[in-house]
Amino acid sequence: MHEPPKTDFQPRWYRNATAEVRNALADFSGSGSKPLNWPRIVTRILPSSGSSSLAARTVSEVIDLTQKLAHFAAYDAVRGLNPDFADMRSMGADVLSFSRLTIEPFEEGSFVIPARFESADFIPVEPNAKELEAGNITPEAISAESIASRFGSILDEIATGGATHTISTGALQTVQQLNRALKREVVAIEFATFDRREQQSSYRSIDHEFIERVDRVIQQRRPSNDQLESVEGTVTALDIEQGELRLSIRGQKQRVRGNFHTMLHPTLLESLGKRIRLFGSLSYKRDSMVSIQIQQAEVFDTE
Amino acid sequence: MSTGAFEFVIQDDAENWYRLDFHVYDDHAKPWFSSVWQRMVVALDAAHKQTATSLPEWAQWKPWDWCEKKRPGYEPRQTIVAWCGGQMAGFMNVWSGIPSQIDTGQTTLYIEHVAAAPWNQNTELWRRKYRQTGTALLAYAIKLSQDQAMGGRVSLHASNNSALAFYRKVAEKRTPQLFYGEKSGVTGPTPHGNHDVSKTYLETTPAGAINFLEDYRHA
Repeated sequence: MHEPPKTDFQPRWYRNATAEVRNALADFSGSGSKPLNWPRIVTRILPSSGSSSLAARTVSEVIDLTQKLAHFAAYDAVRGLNPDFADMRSMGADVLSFSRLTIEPFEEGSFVIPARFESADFIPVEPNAKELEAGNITPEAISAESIASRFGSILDEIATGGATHTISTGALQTVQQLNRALKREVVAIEFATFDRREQQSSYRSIDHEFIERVDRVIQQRRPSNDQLESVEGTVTALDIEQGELRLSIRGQKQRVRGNFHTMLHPTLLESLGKRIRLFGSLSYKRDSMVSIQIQQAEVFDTE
Repeated sequence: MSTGAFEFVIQDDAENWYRLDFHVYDDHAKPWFSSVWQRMVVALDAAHKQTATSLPEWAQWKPWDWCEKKRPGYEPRQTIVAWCGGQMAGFMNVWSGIPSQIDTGQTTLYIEHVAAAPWNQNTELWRRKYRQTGTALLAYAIKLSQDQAMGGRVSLHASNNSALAFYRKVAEKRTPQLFYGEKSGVTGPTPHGNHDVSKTYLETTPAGAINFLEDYRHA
């Protein structure tokens, strides 16, 4: 390290100043105003029983689900509210890119995960030449701030029982999947969103009670109110395009065929090879289960 | 006028003086912001939470974020870091060529941020290492303005009463006067400049600024 360069020079004002002026000018913290910052989502994971560590899988899963929820929030902000929307693959590369989160350095001694949206404003409509000529089209830029805002409002609506009918199925199921971390080793997952002025715009804590609220909202969306049957097994084949899967179950040689709606994509997308509980209408042939019309699915933690 | 070199100096508690060097923000400065500065602020924040006292305003700043160049609209900003030996002493974010609010057709060096490093400030947890940092930074900003053909004109918004009191004290009883009359309702040149309208705007007079800069000439 370089030694501080000593000098015998004193500034002229100091030589001429009184002790009072010297003291008054000795301290200077700073001056300036906070610049605009990136919109942010800050996630805080609270381990159960005061533990000071978490499984890598839990942390990565929470980060992954936070990103997914941000994608669904961006879809709402860009394309408009669509409660039926669930298939992230059809979201479009532009929306996915717009809502990409960048993780900032973690704070030491905590599981606080600050993430920001660095994307430029999204221009949803490319006006064509004729429309431009007519001067009647002004594509309105959408700021990434609107993603953070929608992210917060999705959680707020669930918490308060507000306009949950506006929330996409994909977003609901993504929140529901946080339950895996809660069941495993987490007591709560907190989300805070911040605008470009670094002002906190929302805060929600996701715990078991919150997940129960999500479950109820999803339950209300079931096409039928029939009592659902359930079956547990391992997904051994999956065709997302066709909305079909094959389930191996204990005590039965023949695999069970399952059909599902696109709204179950977020849950089933990563179910291949995993233990799963499916809810729906079961069909039997000579006491053997042959198929299930899937209404609901729960992927088990494989750890 | 003397021909000696300028020496921008700061003082320790034993009243020894030390020369500052100034460099544009680079990778060498980065860890001082992202590790040292940030960690001291985190520690101070934790201490204030424990004692249920309010964090000083400067500790709510995130200069380690501000130095990143990729944020849209902030490309013209230049970050100047003051060094005392191998240790950072403070920094400034400045914008060149900003129109004067007083002299039509003239430009100024606008100071968006100027701050002493946390270790050069007294807090609940530590005593400052060096003092008189603010005046040295202001003098260097005037030199930059002069070097970049803005005649020593420097403009800024005083962010709060404490900053305004500091600038008033620097300018007190100086002849020629250091600042033109205080103005309000002036928009800053940055993307968040409309948030500065309510703050007091100050602009140095060329003669007053050069006179203040000369205070730092080692004859």
